[in-house]
Amino acid sequence: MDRRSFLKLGALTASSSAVGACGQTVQKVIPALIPADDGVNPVEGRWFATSCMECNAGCGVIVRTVNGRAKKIEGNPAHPVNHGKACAMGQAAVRRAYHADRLKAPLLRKGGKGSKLEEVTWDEAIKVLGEKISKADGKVFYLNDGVNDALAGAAKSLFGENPAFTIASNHAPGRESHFAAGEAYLDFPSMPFPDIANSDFTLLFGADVFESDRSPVYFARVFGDSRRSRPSARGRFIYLGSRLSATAAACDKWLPVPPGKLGLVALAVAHVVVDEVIIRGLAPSIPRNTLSRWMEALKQYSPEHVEKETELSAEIIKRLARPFIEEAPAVAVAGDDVAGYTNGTPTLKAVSFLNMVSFEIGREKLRIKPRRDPAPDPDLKNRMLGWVGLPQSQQSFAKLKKLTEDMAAGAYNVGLIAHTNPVFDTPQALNFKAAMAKTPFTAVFALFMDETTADADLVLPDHHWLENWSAQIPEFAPGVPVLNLVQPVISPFTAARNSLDVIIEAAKKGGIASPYANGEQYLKAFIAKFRAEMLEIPQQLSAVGAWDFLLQRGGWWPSDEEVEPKNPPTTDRLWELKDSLAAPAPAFAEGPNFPFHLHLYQPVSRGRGKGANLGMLQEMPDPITTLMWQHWIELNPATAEKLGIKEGDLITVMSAAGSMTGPAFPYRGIRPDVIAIPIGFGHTNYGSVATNRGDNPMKLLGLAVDEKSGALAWRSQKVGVKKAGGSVAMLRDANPKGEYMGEAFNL
Amino acid sequence: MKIFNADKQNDYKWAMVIDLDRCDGCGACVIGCQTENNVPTVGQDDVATGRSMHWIRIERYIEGEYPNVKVRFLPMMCQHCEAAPCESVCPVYATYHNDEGLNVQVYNRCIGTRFCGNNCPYSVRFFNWWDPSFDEATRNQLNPDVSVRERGIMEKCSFCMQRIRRGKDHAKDEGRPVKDGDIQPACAQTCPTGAITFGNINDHESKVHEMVHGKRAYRLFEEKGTHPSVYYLKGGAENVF
Repeated sequence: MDRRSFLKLGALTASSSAVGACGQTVQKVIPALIPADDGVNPVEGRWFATSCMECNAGCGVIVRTVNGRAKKIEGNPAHPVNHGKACAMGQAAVRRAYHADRLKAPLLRKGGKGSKLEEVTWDEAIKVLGEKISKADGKVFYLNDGVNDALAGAAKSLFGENPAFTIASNHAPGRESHFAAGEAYLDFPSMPFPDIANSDFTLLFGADVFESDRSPVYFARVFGDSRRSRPSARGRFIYLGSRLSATAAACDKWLPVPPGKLGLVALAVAHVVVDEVIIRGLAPSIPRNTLSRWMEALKQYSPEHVEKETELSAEIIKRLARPFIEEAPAVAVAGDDVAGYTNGTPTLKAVSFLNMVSFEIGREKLRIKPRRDPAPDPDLKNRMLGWVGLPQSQQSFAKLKKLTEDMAAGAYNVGLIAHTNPVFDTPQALNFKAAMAKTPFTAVFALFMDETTADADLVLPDHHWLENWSAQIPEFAPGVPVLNLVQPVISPFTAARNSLDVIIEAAKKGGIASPYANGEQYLKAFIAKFRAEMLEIPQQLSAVGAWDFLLQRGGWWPSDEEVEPKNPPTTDRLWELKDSLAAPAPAFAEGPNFPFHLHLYQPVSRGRGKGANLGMLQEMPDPITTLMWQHWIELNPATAEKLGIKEGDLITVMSAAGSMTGPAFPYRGIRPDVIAIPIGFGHTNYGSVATNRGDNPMKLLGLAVDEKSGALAWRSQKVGVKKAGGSVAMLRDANPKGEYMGEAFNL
Repeated sequence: MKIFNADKQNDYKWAMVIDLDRCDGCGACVIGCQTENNVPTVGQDDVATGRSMHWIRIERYIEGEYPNVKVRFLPMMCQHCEAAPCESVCPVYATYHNDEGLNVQVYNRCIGTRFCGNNCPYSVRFFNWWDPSFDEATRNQLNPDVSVRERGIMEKCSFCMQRIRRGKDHAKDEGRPVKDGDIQPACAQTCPTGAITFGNINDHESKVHEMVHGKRAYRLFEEKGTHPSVYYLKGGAENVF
């Protein structure tokens, strides 16, 4: 071997050995540096399954944590509500958990009402609450935001024995109307979750389902599936209502309809459909005499009869009815612009009726098995709700109103308020603030100081759901009980304590025995009780194994096979319609100077004011107005011109109940007789980001209710508008090269 | 200098398809991106001066007069142009095109001339006029995979480069090529309606490859010759009802 070859070979060997050694050394050295604990890559972090509690929709989520800090929230792909998707508010939840404004310690009014809230130790806070409970004589109430969580279940099991105990909820308005209408058509009260994903045509009756309502992520997902996931056809969507919302924008067409008149449209469409069924002999499952009875009831709702009142021509109504016959089953979905009026429940029933007839027409040609009503086992769900949540009958505005009146009359000695802000987000005419002042002792479970917390006698800082043990049973498709487990994903950020632990401990101090020492035990006992009915848990697992199995999945829900109906859904009782086929005229809270309809709505991803303290959500442009960091009042440009109002002018909106002021935003997608205002603005005590941003439109609302369900008729208020003087700059998300207005290019 | 070579073939060329028929403007992608990529908020005062910092934004267009009004949404982010107007003007090669079709921004090369932002027809580059102010909550959430940008740096959508890296690493560990659907940027992963699809357009079996060859596919400002890697599927339909 010559010298040159030797060097060549040497170089080759050296480099190859370096490569080999490198690969091996890395694997040998790094485990030595990082203790081999559980095989988790510290850079990639760990993923935990838990459940989002930002709103009541109940999406399953997975959370990435790195070095003990939560980094990113994603949807849980296995969860039946959201299938791996998440909304803006859910993803911003980490910021709420780490928020600088979080309450750090319990606060107590040591000198009674009128004195200041002072920091106390947890021992003292629990002792005081225990003493108050022991002396309360059972006159205790529990109020939450309508979420079916373990805290509500525990409160009910601890205090429910006493007849003087009241449980109520401050939930989004209109929910109980859906349940009342659902009960008329199904055997049990339920929120409708229609099968949009498999339908070719969906008619939205004022249902802003992608923004607020039942479950924005669920509805967005089925919308996407209907539109473009089926090879057969593109799903078409038509929106009827008084405002072109973000949901309406995603639809193919928006048809403005006067407020409160959507029931007439639903029955006129039903009139055309039933007429066609009789003529063409469609839907053989419906008895002939039933059909003629319906036709008799629908006689006064022919398209020609209602065209003047609904401002939709008979021709348009007939075209809307066509898909319900030809492409049956087509789906109608009703939402806030139906449930928000005094005729909400009958209108919801009219929409359900339309769905039912179309379903019967399409029953024959259905290729995909309808998942409309998978065999309901309301018993299982109700039994679970006994542990986690409240029975639906306890959740209504009527109950909240009664509670407030009783509080004001001094009927309760102790109030427990959890994660809800009724002083801010109920109509100011309800005067919850004054009622709270009349209650000798109110304890509030909260994450932040807000308007209700500020008025409490004892403030109990709770864990954020990322730090907490809990469980939730969300409202979801009828008959599908879904159990969401909430587990601590990060270590607590403040000295807060789990409300479930605190309520059990305080009750014990107050002389109410509980078989569970803390919240975690309560949840484990709950799982143990229902384990036999959760068939998805492998038999061979121990109790501990079963618990871990559920935590890894994020909860329990029946697999699809079980969801399939054992027997086809019977519709026999549906033919008994009683009062259903009527669309009563809506009543409005009128006044001589109030020419406009007030249209309050929940803006996208901010809830009813909960999300207002996050800069990230404040800076997320509203999809319709593109406004950031700002409140606004929408009115039609023609109305604005008539009143001499320009964009940004401060205007005052007045009703018989009160008035509020904000900058005007002329918007073409709103009826000229409607003023629309997003709710959730105008906090007076909710941290530096939210406080004094806008004005609270809840000042404008009276207490009109839906006659049938007792739900707050929050769209039935009439208002007047006048210039307040002055104007402000509107903070729109502007493209530096010009605003996004006009037909810029072909989308 | 040849800035666009259509014949160049690599294993990977990343592309995104946005179905405008599915977008409902909910903004989940905006927050998803912001939390994944450590994008700061700029605050009310800066917004008032016309600033905003969203790597992905929902553009909103209004057409027609009452009552025949139509509102449309269009998610907009860096288009990762093959012939990117931003790349050729950077004096320090802080923005360049990598082998996988990504328009890459190298933060520690950037000297803040803002020529790239000026040249971008899509207005998707964002300049840090000040050091970002992260409150305690944000600092706790900062993603360790993504560097935080300081004052004087231009930033923009990276197609979640860190996720592409991780996806490729995982595939390599398992000794296989990246499968379609392995890698999802934060916006695509979260989009509730499934409007955003991401994948390797050089993989002829991939979803994006199929979608960009559909009838509805188009690219923004195609006439400018930028050859974006983001494709849009036209929304709407005739004779809806």
